[in-house]
Amino acid sequence: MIEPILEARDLSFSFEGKKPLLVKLSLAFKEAELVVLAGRNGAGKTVLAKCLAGIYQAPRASVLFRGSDLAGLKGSPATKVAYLFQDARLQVLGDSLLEDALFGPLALGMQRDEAEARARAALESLGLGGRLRESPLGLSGGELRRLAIASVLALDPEVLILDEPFANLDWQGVASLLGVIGDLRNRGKTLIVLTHELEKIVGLADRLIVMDRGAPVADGKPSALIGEGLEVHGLRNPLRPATSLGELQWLDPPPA
Amino acid sequence: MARSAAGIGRGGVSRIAPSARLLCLLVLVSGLFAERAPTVLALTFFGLLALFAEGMRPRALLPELLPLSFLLLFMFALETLSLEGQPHFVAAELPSALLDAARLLAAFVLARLFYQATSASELREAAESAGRFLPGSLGQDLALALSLVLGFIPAILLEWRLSLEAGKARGLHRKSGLGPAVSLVAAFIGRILASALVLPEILLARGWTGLKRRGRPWGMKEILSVAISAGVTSLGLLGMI
Repeated sequence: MIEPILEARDLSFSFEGKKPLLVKLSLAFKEAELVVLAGRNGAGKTVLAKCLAGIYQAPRASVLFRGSDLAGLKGSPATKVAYLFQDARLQVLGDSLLEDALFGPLALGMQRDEAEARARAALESLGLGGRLRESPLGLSGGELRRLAIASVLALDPEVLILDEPFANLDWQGVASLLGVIGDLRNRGKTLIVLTHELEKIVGLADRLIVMDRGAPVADGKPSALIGEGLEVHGLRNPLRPATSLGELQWLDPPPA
Repeated sequence: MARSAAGIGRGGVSRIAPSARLLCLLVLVSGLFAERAPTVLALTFFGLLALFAEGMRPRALLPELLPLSFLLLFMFALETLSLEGQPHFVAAELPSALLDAARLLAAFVLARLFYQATSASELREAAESAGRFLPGSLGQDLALALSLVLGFIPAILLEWRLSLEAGKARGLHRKSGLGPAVSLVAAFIGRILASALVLPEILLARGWTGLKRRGRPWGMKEILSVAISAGVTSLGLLGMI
């Protein structure tokens, strides 16, 4: 049996003094898999993702990376599992695109030349190579999302978790981001996409996990799960007859 | 205000390690207000040349000099006007007033050169090097705080603009009175604090673990630049140039 790259094993989590948000949750993710983690607002997707990325401190040995406790591994967990915030603007830490992409490699202790080579390569790969000096504040929503991805790619993580990546993006922005996701998948990255907008990504996914009230309620191939009563978990069936043409167009390539 | 991003400065100053750059600035400015006119003028001249070599356009510099000119004018008036009896101009104070104005201008040019050639991450690197002499991880923490403040200034300005726009969208205008204005400031502070609350999460997500990192090593050009700065300052103070 192939060892999962990332695993939650009997993971329970609650904020101090509050009711539990996750209770003994177990999930495993295979290498180079594109997983859509779907669920209504408040289903526990973000809490789970932040635990998987080591941002929230999960109990010992409840988050495993290649079989080892993520919290016990040497160095920053972000070099293994990167988490991209729902609001990409939150994640920006530099006054230029290059400065922002440099933050992670420099924080890891890399020498400046190596850090800069990594940051430049990551920005190039996301089509931002010609805009190194620009301020992130002038970027559009889609460009900010690409900058956020480039900045974590500079850490060379094996798993990327994208939290509601399609929020506030127009059609062009969604299509461009889907292209980036496809490219990352071709590069062998494991991708976990948190969303409630199934129609935008589920056509590309290898696996669909539906969460509700802090627990996975369905897990399998998207083709097997779509249409299986997703509405009760707050999700709109992407194959539902459309009320307007626009709702059908998300996965189509944009006009040239 | 355009300045070079990390590692893509065009001039010689940006090629020197940031810690040496910071030390040169401190050495040169520390002696500046006791230097004589030729040294001050030479520092201004070479400072300007280096600034333009770093990619600063002369036309872009002029608007930045405007606020400084008001300060120079005020200083000039303070030194040359006497209020004894009828207010009058004291011609004897003119040379020293001009020299002080030139010193202030030179300090601005040198500081602007440092700012032009140094990105936020390089400033953090320089501050970390300087902070090595502080106990524990204090120097590193201060350096991180400094770079975060620099990185967040544009974000804070944006938050303020968004708060203002939100206020206007709810009917706030100049004659709305103090109450709504106070609410607006409170909302702005709330937004900033909310951003600050997620900061630890952002830092973790971006790979920050608080580990020590090494600054750029010093080579011949760093040693030479600091030696030249110290030499110019010493010789100027001794009245030899």
